[in-house]
Amino acid sequence: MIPSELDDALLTAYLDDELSQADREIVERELKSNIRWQSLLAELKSVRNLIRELPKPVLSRSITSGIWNQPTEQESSKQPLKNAAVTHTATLKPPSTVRWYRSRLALAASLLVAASGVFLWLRQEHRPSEMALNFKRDSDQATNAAPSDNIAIPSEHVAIRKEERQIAGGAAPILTPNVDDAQLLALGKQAELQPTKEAAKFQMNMRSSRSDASKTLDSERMLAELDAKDYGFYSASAEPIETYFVSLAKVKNDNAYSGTWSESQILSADKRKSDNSFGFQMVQSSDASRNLYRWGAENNAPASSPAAKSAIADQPLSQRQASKNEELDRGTYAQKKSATIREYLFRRSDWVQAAIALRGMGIDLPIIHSLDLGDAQDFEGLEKKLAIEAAIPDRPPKLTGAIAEPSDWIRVVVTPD
Amino acid sequence: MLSSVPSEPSYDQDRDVLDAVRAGQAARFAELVVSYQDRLFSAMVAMVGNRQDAEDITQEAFTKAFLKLDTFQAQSSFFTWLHRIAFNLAIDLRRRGSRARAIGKVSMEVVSDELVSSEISPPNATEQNETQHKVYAALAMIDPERRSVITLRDLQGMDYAEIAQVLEIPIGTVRSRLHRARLELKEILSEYMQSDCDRESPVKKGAN
Repeated sequence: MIPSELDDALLTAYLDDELSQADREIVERELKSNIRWQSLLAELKSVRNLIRELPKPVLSRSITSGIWNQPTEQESSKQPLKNAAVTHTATLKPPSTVRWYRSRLALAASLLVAASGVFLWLRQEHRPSEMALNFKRDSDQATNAAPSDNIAIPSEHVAIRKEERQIAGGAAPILTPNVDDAQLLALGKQAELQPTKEAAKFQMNMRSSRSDASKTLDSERMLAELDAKDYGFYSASAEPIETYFVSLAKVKNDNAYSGTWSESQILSADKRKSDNSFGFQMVQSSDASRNLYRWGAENNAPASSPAAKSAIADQPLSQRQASKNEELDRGTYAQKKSATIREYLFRRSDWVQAAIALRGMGIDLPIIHSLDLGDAQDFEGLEKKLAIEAAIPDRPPKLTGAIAEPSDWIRVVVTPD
Repeated sequence: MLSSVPSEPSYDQDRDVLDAVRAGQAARFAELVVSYQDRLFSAMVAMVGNRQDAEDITQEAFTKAFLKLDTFQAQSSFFTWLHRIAFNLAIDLRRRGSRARAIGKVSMEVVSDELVSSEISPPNATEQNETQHKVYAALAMIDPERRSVITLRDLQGMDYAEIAQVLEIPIGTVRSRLHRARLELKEILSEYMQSDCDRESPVKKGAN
């Protein structure tokens, strides 16, 4: 039997003929008797076919001439690649959008008013960024050091090259003049999580206790087959930054839970530092799960215990207990809240770390009190979440900036009350 | 693997062209552009959701490939390398985050109209249009990371190893993302898939 959610991915690999012979035989054996799999396979195949049948859009124009002014064989054959690349860089055409604007500008030039308006607009739209200008200065210096004819790199390409250089260099860009980059980098490193097999095992156990369908999951066997790193299971400890989370198994990439950590869950988890296997199991934000969490926290019992389930089924959270919890929440916030550190730098690819570390430092919990620690791990997701939370009237967010920089780093700025 | 575009050159042909370009015959790079531009463009449309950005990224990807050709180690095919450049550009575009040009639902919905109406021939246009419009819209609704994988697999016909190279992720992650992507699309497109499922039983007719 291979009925677990994770193993369903075997069907996708089977469909794509990406399984070993042995695995293929296992899947085919299972398919003969597993009706759910038969149905799922048919559906996956239908999805695949729908995508494959999409029309393949083609370019409405050739972009060849857009990449460079067609060099003659005679000219280009005189130079090896590096020189050739520089030569053609000098004649690179900007992307079609830019060319389109310029052609419109030429037309508009015949009309004085329109021309001035379009001109101003174009100036604004295509003004090289400060970054590009800096690079241009670097470039100019290099050019002065080693003079070369006809080098005129369009600003839009300059900007791209500057970005590459920053990323390739591995250093965080200087974000603002008044921020100590070394401190920010240190914070970013502190928040970095390391993949561990223990975390993977923990996460799988969490899955098996959470879903009836996956109760039979043999995590040991799965772990034998999967590299924990491949599946991105991560454990985190924010202890270097004044512990709030004791232990957290989070999953990168696509093996993540979709769910919401309500603030009460987080707080309950905090109360149960000594029991890692319980503290972070719950990812649902329903009233029932919140009650379960509170019940578990107060009675020192695992959420999956019969007593806990019974408590949820029969005994909703009492008003008295709810008030007590609210009081406790407020007290915890008051204790945790601090605004001594206002800017943080984190790797963009793992913005969830930013949320974890911010919570770990006890700073402005209301700002991100309801983050999805599941799939939305990109910066856009963070922005979206923050925007949603900005709409919560009774807890106005204090996060003033979540600034996208053209690098692997993001900066989160938190202002004090 | 999906069937290849007929005019697509072989790995050896690519290598010959690249050697020539490296030797100074830069004009021959145009052969690679002509060979791959439509296929790359098609992937970028699926990724960014509009033709204009897709065209710009396609052009920019070739430009970058040309400029950085001396760093290409041929550890993967040129086509795979080119895709990696293009997907990174698409990600950069999203990060730079011009709202109007971001990869997102709205832009994809708009472009799905544009694409579907411009790419489908008249006879079955109405029914196909509707389905394909939904498929494009559904694609736009899923996570961009998953969209990348399904685009490379089901539109570009890459195998898992190639996808892993392009996106610089482990093969296991390719598999899981692809599975999640298909499940997500299945949920969104359930009504359209039902008739397809009814037509064919995978057990009787084989999975592939």
